[in-house]
Amino acid sequence: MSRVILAFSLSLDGFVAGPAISMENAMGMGGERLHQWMFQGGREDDVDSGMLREQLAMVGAVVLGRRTFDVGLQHWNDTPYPVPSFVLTHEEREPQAMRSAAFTFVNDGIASAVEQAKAAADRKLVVVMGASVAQQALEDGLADELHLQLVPVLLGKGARLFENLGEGSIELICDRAVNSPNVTHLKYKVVKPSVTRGVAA
Amino acid sequence: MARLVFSNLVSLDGYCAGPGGDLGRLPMGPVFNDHNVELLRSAGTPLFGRVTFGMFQAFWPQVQKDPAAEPVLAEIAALTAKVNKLVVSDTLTLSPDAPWGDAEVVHRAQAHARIVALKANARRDLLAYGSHVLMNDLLAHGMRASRMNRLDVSAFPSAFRRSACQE
Repeated sequence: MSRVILAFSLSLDGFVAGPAISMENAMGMGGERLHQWMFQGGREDDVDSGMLREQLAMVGAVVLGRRTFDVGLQHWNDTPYPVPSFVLTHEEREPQAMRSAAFTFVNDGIASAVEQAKAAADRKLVVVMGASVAQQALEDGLADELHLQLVPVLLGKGARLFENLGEGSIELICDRAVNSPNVTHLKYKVVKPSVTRGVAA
Repeated sequence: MARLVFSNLVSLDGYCAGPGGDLGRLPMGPVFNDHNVELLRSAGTPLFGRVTFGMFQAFWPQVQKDPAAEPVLAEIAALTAKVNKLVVSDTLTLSPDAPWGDAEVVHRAQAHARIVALKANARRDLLAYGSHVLMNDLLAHGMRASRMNRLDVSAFPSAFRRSACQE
């Protein structure tokens, strides 16, 4: 069964993008800083490149929000990863074939998008992209793991990953913490809610 | 010149306490104690905001008096007892007879200048725990002027979702 992963580069103060996200500035003002680590290593065998390759090799499908699709498409010129990608949207649209895979537009909610992505992922990971969709996945108990790069910067403002999560705490188990000079790579398992905090029907 | 170090335990979603300031969920265990005693051994003046000072003042002098205290806690209590302490507060008045009653209280308006002066003259680091109001004030006003030199953040794997004191 495919596991569902929230994969983000996160500033120390919890932001996954800067403020004022726009078509021209998909990561928001100053938000590009969060992805700098992907280009800082410079060597094939450095920790960051290794983690990036590992992640890339494990992704089988993507679930993303409409806004991430809109601002991201021109940068990717393709699907964000070379795998089937499912866009949550209210708009009914025909699938859109890209170079490496296709976008499928899902109108009936995140659970359905995750279900379709799992079916397409061939037991590899389903990666959730976009803070808002990630929050829904976490809130609805659909997320299995968090894969984070903790970036040593205080952005001060922007889009937070951890908000709109409802009441009570969500327990996580730290699976891995790998340090590089540029970021700290963290993997957490989400402790699934028992019946007391189930997925909303 | 000494450095100013802030040490904080925060949840993955950035909270330093649960709703109502509840610290019950923070994993303050052996690893945390070892980490702190190591920080304290090399530090000089501890720096506090009013709330954290109140918590420390109610706890550590008691530990120091307890002959059965765990060695690591006893060492933390002894280390914190013997150094001069600085509290930033506009409202706190300390009786000299109170535990840690000899701590220096500085008003917010004078705090930046006092910290800069302390840093310039001290050989050992200024160390602050918790004190998120003070930390954010210094971050907002002083970080780029090198008043703060190190953030020591221990993230723990839990997301509070709601709390009094994010940021």
